[in-house]
Amino acid sequence: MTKAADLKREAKFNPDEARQMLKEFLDADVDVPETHPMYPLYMQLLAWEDHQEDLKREYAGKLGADKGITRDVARSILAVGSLDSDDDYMLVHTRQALRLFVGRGRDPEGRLSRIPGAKNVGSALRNLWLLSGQDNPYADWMLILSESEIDDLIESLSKAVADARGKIQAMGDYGIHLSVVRSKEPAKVCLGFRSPLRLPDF
Amino acid sequence: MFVRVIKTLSARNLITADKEREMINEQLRPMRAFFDRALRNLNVLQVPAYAALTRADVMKPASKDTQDRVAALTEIWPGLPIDVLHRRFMPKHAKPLRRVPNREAVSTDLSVAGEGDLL
Repeated sequence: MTKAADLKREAKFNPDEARQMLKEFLDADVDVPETHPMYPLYMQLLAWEDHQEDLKREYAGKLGADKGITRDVARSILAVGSLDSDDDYMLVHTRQALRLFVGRGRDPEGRLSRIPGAKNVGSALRNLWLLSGQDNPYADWMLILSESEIDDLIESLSKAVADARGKIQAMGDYGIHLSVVRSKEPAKVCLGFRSPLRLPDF
Repeated sequence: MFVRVIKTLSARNLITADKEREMINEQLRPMRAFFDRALRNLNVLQVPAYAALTRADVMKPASKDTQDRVAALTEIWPGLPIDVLHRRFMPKHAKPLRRVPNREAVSTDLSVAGEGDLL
């Protein structure tokens, strides 16, 4: 029999109908005798079920990949790791900004006062954020207050930057074009924490 | 960026060195004050007895110990807003809840808990 004929026959084959016709044998869980007129239909049903099993196995083995994709290529999806990135960092150009970021620890001689750094504050806010995720209402409250303060600081800083930039740009009216100073070797500071809160760009 | 812009003004003699310091400190001061507050707040909440409190504990303390812990925290931070307690006002970046309180169901009846319960 040709392949086309096979396909045609397969297309016409209705497993539900076949099961209905073979119900007596299937319910009794016995094979149809070779001499029985239903035997060819029974064999066709078994072949169809084997084929379906093969298809399921192949689908599972290829992790549901589309036609034409080999099993090895499809399974490479398992080797893809979770998303990650290099540490977030910030370039800091001035000592004042760097001091604000790193802070100042307790002076053993007691001459200088301690200054908390933005890095530790970021880490503290992250811890508050984690407690907030544990249904602690006080953490939520402190986080709300912090968010509000950060928004105010960012707004105030943005306004101060805009004012200062305005002065620089105003020099352009006199034909003097000034560029904002920058360090030749800015410090690269790793943030070392990941939370959705952002701190002001000092 | 702020310090760089101010230093640009100073470097081009558009402001004096004193003015530069004053402008930078003016922005720096509230930032340091905020940093101090944020760390102090965390220091309080890092105490395990306070860190473990949940909304259910605050609304209806199940034991004398929980009640004492809530009372102590209320002394430090009086007046927890009712909208925060009932999750009607949450941080913009609120983390999805991980720990579902199973000791007591959170009541949605506003008359059950109010600021009065905390004081």
